[in-house]
Amino acid sequence: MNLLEDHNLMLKVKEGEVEKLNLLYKRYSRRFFGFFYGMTNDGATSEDLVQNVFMRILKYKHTYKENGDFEVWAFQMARNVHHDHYRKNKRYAFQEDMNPYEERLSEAKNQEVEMEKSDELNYLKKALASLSDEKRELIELVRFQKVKYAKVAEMLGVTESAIKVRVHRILKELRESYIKLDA
Amino acid sequence: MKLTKKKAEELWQDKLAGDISENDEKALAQFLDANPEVATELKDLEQTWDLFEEIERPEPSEKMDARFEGMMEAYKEKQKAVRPNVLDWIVERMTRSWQVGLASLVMGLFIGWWMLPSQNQKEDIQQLSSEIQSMKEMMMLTLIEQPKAHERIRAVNLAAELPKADEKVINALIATLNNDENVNVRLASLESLVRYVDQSNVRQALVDALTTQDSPLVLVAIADVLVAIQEKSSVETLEKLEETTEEGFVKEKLNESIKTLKST
Repeated sequence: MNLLEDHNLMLKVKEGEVEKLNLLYKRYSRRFFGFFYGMTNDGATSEDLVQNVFMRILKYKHTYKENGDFEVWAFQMARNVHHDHYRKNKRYAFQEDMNPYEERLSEAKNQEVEMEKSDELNYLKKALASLSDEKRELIELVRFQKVKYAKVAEMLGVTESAIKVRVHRILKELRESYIKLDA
Repeated sequence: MKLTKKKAEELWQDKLAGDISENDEKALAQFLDANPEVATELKDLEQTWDLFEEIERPEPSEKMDARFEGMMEAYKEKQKAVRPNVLDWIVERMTRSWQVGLASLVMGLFIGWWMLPSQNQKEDIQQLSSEIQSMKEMMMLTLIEQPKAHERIRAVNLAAELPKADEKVINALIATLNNDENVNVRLASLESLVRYVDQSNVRQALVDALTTQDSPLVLVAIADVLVAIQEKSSVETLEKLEETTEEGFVKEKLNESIKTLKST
């Protein structure tokens, strides 16, 4: 048994050796940050939410199961933290609306820099931003945070094959919408 | 193995995620060779999938790590505070059986009785508080003689803090109300005197004060108090004053007060 595996570290945390959480923080904080950034497009908020996740991990450590999977459990917590934030913070939806606008502003400002970036990438970003939260979350987990399909399926309570079908459809949707933007 | 399009798409997802077995990969390749249109579609999507790699994400600031460390420290501190101690052990023992519970109740009563302040202590406390009271009184009486107005106001406010004022204090307040050269001090002493309007000498002093006041402000304030305490005996004095005063607004105010006092 590898004592430094996520699962074993978390079991130690559960037993009261909370300093073991430091290592889990090192392994996961950047991924959570990336996940929240993908969902909120706001660095400061994402940092707050990362903090919330680890606070919850401490608070609910007793609920971690002996046969649990830390990645699934912790990302499930991150998803909940994000949902709560979204529910509580009505301005958040407004912020999202503002993003394309801000992007345009920055484009106007740094036109030269922007020109160097591939248009395709910009269109993809826009297409990604226009996805529903649910879909973006799925892409965020599978593609950006590289959580395995089986684990995402466990989080969402559906079959692995259903997850693959969903991801496939979302990819198609994204491709179609950024091609439209391109045209 | 014969693949359906749906199955092929799923395998292709596995391939993108870099999680496909050799056999599955072979089967997928065969399927795509046989179905070039699906192959083109999947190739296109793969391009989209790969493009994600180029989307840059910012790094969190150093503050994030510092906050985490702070949170951990705070958590550990808190844990220390709630760690079970000897007291918890005793409480647990006590609540486990009724005999132990009863015994500890009796012991508690005994300790309580033993620690109860004795008669002597009670007397000491009483003496101490009366000493504090007289010290405050003395301070008030000294301060009220001071040449500076703000010190006299302090004295007057101090009088309001005394739980019960004796005659000396009340007389000092009345004297201040009648004689102090500063209007603010007079107003402050009136405010303190309001606490003692249940004493008839205070009420009388307020009525008398009407005749000695030259400040319209203080006059109006006293009239207000008299109306508030329904001091009907003051009507006559008020009427006299109303006749003699030359200030228009004071006349008006007094007239109003008289009317209110008469009507109630």
